[in-house]
Amino acid sequence: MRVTEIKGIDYVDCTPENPMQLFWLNPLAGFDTWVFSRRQEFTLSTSDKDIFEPIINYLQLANGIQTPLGKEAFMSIKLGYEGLNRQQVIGISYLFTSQLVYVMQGINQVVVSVREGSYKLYDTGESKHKIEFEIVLPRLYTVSL
Amino acid sequence: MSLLITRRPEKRSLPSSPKLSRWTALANPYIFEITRADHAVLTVAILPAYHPTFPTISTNGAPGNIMQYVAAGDNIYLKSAMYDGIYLVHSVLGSFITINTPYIGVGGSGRINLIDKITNFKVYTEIYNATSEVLIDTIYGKPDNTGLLMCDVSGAIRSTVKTKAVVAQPVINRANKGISGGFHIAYGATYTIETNAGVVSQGSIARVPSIDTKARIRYYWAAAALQVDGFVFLGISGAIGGNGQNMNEYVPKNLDNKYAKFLTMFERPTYFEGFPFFLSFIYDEDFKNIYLERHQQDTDINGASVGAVTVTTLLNSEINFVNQMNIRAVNGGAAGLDVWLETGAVITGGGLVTVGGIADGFASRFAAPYVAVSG
Repeated sequence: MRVTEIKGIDYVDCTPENPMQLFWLNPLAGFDTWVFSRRQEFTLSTSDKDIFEPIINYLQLANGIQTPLGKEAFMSIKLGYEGLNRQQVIGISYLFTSQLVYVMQGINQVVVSVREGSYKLYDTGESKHKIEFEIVLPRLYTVSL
Repeated sequence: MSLLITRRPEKRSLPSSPKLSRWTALANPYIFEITRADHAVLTVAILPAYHPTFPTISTNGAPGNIMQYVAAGDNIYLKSAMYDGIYLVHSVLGSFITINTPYIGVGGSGRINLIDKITNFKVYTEIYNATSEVLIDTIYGKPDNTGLLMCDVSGAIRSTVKTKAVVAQPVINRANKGISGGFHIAYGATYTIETNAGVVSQGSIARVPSIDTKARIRYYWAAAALQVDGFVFLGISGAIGGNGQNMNEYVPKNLDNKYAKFLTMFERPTYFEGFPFFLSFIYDEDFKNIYLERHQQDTDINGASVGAVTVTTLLNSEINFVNQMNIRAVNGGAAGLDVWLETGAVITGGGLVTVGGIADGFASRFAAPYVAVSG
């Protein structure tokens, strides 16, 4: 006796270029996934934690003035996908509200966050849609002096 | 005096079915309605022997007790048909209480609460992990003047969420115990009681198992968030059908014509060849005595069947949790696949797994980890 719906699943049998698979916890306590491909923009964002400025009594003995006490560094990746139908956009959109998003790196899973913001999801006047967003990777440890 | 759960977080699986969905989304309130009733009311009517125009309440209280704890001038809460509110006591005789209010008709069975004489009424609700029986938390609450307490256990259970996914799973299905689970509750109360003579003492209502064995039933949670009725813009059916925060729509049952949904926000998910993929579903306690099977059918680009349906038995050891289920590799030439769950063989052999594809390490597990908890 059948006890669930019959779930249709699309099957993509070609390996995409530059694949990046994301898994995320959806609002039903299930995990959804999508493989983003082709073009990704990698960005490294850095900032100084604080600046130390020593007192300089003799200029001829100094070789600088300010010294950063530490660096903050984050790597982020801009991802996108084109040619989506509406149900695919809706499914992917729950990635933006998920508190738990993984990027698959081989057999490893890296927890990332989706950068907050406003996202255009779909336009009822279009038959195909595209989606673009940015994920922030775990903070990079840097050496503090 | 009684303290009862008068509304439970459960929904009928189908309108005519006695089976219940006890799965609730944890991001929404997880409410047990608990009602205090100091004495049952038999009737409310004009009884000329007590008063010619004021209604008189016939209670089930022992006359001695009523006379000892209720006096003219007290306020009591009365719930009996059209009588619903706080009333001033006009007189008391035996187990009959006459109230100072216009007669508006005959009231049926109901309850009274002695809100002047029984005070500091505090209900404690204990929440136990259904698997380990470990106490998770105790919640304290005070019923309002009507005796009603809305006990929301979601906050306490949220402390047990350990959200994680293990994407690469070697078995066909695996329980995700970080984002789902079960619990049961017990409850009781303490209060201060004062006689008409001014003697004050402490009283209590014993912990629930002796009062309400149904309270030992398992309830289930999933780290889910359902939406308000009619919120369909993003494809969430929300609470359509009056299910509220209950996940009835997603809870399979061993029932005809009950087709639960999988836990995905995609109408049609996409399986990319060579990448991990699984479907999530609720493995409900209703299948503790019968196997579930994954049925999979490859389809062509028009949705027509390609090849034969394959059937694989799920691991029953993972019951009572949200499960992640693998799908088998798709055959060449297919453009899609259909997946659904069906019931399989009845579980025999005293609960041990006896049939089905059992992965290494699972063979000695009990098929039905469900523990029936007696009251």
